[in-house]
Amino acid sequence: MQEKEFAQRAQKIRGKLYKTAVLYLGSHSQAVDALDEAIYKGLCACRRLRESQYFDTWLTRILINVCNDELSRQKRICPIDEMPEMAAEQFDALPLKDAIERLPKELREIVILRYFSGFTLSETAKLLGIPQGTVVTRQRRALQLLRLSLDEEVTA
Amino acid sequence: MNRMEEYQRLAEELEDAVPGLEQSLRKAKYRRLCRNIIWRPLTGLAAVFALFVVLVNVSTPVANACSQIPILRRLAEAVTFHQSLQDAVEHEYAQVMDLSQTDGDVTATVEYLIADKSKLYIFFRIQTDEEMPIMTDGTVSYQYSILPRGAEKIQEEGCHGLGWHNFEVLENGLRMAELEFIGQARHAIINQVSFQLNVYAADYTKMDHFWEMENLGEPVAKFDFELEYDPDLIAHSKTVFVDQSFELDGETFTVEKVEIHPTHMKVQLSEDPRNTRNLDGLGFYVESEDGTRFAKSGDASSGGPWESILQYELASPYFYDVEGMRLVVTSAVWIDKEKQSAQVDMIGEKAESLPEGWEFLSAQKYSDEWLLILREPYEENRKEMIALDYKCYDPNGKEWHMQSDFQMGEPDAEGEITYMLRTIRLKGYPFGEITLNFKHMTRFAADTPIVIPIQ
Repeated sequence: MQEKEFAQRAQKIRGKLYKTAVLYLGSHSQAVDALDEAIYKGLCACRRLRESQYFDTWLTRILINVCNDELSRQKRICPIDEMPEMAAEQFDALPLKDAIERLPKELREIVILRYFSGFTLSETAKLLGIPQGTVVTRQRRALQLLRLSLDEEVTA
Repeated sequence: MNRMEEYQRLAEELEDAVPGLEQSLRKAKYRRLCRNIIWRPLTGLAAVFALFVVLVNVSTPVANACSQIPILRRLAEAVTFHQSLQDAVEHEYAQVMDLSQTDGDVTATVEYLIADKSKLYIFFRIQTDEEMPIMTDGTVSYQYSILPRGAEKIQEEGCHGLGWHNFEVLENGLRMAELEFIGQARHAIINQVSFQLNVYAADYTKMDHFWEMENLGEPVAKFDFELEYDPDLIAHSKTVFVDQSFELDGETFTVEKVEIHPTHMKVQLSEDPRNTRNLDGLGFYVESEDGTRFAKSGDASSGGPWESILQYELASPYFYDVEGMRLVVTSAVWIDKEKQSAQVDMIGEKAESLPEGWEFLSAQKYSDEWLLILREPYEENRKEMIALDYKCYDPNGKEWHMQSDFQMGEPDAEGEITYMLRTIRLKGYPFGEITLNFKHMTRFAADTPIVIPIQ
């Protein structure tokens, strides 16, 4: 893929990318930094992307890795005890954004990708490297905890 | 607010906050450029620059500042005349040199370099204490290794003299020296050259003829640069062996091969020896399946000792994602094989059998050279014309090569220019008579372009 095409396609999905980053990291400025890093890495690697139909998931995967690296870095700098798992009724009391942040990692990822970034079941499974069935199970559990009645195919 | 309303509101807030990626893309491009620069050998200003590069990679505020530094901007502005160099710079296929030397009142700075396996472009600036017109020449020398099959490595040396035609003055004061590697050097990775540069106080705009550039006197400054550049940034070129023949206006040619380098594309053709006419020029371009065109940038040069091999230079598709390339031939200029001769008595100042419309005006002897002036008819877009051949013959039949250039004539009462003044220089010619040869040329335009698939 040439750089010009990379720039055009990245611009097209910037909404998906930003929403993914901000919900992973919890702040606008950290999300913008993560976007910068992902765009840089994507630009360096775009010539190696042979099948351009996978561009969206490919670049999002880079972004997710950047976000996870940042979260790991934050833990190293400021280690905190792992929060105990919350009981289902405790999620009710939290604003939705905070509740999403408190979800276990594997459920939070599903919610972000499926219901805010707009990826399909199949795309989400590819992004996370898990079977579609696992995505279905996890999204059902996440929606239960968040008390959200969202359809399988409903996206933001 | 229930959960669904919260969800909708959160989704809308996120949507409103989505930033554009222009800044991210700009920063990414400069970061990548900085990453490439850091591997250059460090001398002088370059050491400071490399430290800056390290800071860019670890510090966000510095990274933001980097997007304001026009690292390649001066080069990008300067090469807008050359499509392939422009593409190369846009893809950061250029290396920053930033090496300065001073000799007296003159400072030379080699700013950038673009190299592939076929060509080397050196971009430099000359600054003088006083504003004065300058000209340059020099040499580029280098060493390279070749590994013949079944033999030990051989170290070879190459040296190119750079005359006035190897230099060009670009926009914003940048100058460009261009050289083409030849022979075995084209198969080696050359990443270190010695660039010797002479600067003369001379104004070419005041010269009547290009050969006056041979007498520039002593240089006002001399420089020797050792240019070392990153071999990993010299891209490998691609050769497509085409071996396709085509017929044009009854004459046959073969497209032998196409070489694709980052800085240019070269098309090599051969003429069928049974052709009844020679080719003076071929009108063609290369086009990809999606219609992207790569135009000719240079006239034919001989591909070596065989005059039937022609090489043309075009803009390069190297940085484009192209498929289905084809060569599209649209026109040609033919030269009849038979030449017309004319005898010129330079001492008696008369000529016999000149072609129609040609007139002998004068002949002057200066030291060891003759200068002849002829009047040549001129008409724009003539289908047929007579042109002077550079080969001429002395009374003993020995072949000499002339230098010649021309000036446009004065417009007539209708404002049309109908003639040119052709000046011929015969350096070291000892005789008072000469035989000039004229070639008959015809333009041909194909009704339907001829298309030859390349890949």
